[in-house]
Amino acid sequence: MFYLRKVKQINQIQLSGENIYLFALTVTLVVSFLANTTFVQYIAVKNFNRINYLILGILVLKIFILDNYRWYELAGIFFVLAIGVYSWRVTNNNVLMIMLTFIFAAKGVHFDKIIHQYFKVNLTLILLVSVYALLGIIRNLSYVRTDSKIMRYALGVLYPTDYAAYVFYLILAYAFINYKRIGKRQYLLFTVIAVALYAVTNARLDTILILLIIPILLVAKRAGNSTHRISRILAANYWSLTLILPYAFGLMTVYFNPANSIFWHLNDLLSGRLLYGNIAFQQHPVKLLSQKVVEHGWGGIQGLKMFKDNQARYFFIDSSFIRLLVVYGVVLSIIVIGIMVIISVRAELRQSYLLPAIILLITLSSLIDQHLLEISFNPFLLAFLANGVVVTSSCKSATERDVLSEKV
Amino acid sequence: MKKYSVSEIKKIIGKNLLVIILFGLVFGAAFGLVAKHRQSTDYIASRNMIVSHSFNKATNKSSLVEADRELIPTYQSILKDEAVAKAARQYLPKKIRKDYKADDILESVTSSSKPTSLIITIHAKTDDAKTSIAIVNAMGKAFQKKLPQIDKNAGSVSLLSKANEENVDTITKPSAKKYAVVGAALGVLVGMILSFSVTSVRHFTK
Repeated sequence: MFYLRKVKQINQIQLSGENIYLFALTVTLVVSFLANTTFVQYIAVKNFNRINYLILGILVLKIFILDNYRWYELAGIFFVLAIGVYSWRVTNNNVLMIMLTFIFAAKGVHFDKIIHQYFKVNLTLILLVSVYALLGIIRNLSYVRTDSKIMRYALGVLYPTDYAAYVFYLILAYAFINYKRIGKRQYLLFTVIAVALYAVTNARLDTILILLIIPILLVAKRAGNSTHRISRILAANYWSLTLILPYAFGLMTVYFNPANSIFWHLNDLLSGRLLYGNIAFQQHPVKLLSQKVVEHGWGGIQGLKMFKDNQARYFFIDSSFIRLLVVYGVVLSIIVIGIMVIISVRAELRQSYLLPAIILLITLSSLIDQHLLEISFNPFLLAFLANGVVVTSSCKSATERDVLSEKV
Repeated sequence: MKKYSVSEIKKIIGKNLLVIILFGLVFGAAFGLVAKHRQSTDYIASRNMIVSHSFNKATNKSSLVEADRELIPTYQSILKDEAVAKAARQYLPKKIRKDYKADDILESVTSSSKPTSLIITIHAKTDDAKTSIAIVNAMGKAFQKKLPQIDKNAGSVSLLSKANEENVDTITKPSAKKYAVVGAALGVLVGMILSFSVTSVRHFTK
């Protein structure tokens, strides 16, 4: 009887655009997360990719058949997705193509539901994968810091800082969902998580980023009250940092001079990112569209082998923005940064400071971290076309409008 | 919430862009001018020479060449000796001799060689082309004269063609163009910070 009921329930699930999207998102999140763990020792990445491409096909159908777009909007979307596909063929990296497809397929989907789903899936997976790694079912990759002999564990993920980044984005998602309730207790919880994370992964920069969530969110919350002038002014400027910080970082990378002691100290603080970014610019001049860049990172079983045997081969572009410019080209850089700025500015126009705070934190993280474009880490770019982010006249009732505008 | 029309948004973006470009141009020009003001040009004159022992029936040619090559660092050190510089000074025209004592000559002179070749190149770097040329030629002559006096077993010095106006290298530092570009980049950054913060306060705070 139970099963019959279940089947009836499944048969009655409405094939709305939103449900299709959330289903696709769940599948991609699961598959992409597992592809970033040492599960790939047992299941080849290409199988995960195949599932993702199937999902992308479903999403494209949603965009062109289910969603109501005017013809020129469809043309624009097709153009951007085509560039995404081109970048996939040239760079052999499907990350941006997947992200762009999910961004443009998100029309009509409530953003709240997206973040809720993201949080549920990723929290479950990271706990599962950590337990499996500790039990030895999958490999718990461990790296040692050569100078201090400290051990860094990746707990099932392919590299310790990737694990830390997952935690960072999970905290951001939690902050988004529980924005109204966030107070001293949650800030304390974030601090505890940050300390524990540092103990396990020794990911210095990612830990600092988690700690930065606290002041940035604090200012955003205070800015929601118009009597706090200073917080208002500070939070009103959040959006511009998404343009200023990557630009300044780019300048530092381009003009990096190893002979200058200030630059050298900065480079040390950033674990070599200025140096490798500079090398990337020199060896791969920036193009309009994507180009192939061969990298050798520390992540994964191969990376660990290289870490132990041949460290000289290391070359990796850690900064998402440098990566965007060098690997994906000028056009895609403008599109992605444009999407981030639009999400931020749209919220600022309504004196809503949560999304600008989150975009700012993502910007800060992406300066030193390569996960801006990976949907497994960053679901917030999906706010571009999703519902419940912008209060439109399509809202059914005044109360719904009030609830939505109060929330975000 | 104040609704913005498309034309209003275009105006705001336009004003921001204007400020940014303005700052870029101003800073770029400023940096470029400062660089031009501080510009100095170095002239490097070069002259080649070979120091080798002559073959005779008894010597093994390849080992002789090897031996001559191994002596090159020694010759390079001798070149930087005050005795050679003093001799070179005598070959300089009066005007240059007044400004350049033996120490000054040595400071402006360097030498280089390639690992598989017997050629030693003398370089003279000063802020005047004629001076560099005169010094490098004088040093060549002086070395040729002084070497047998310093080291009796040294080979004979063959000087290759003299340095002249046509083969002088110039380095102009600092490059005004590079400074202008850096200036413009910094100007754009400052422009962005200023215009964006004004826009934020004006439109995003009630």
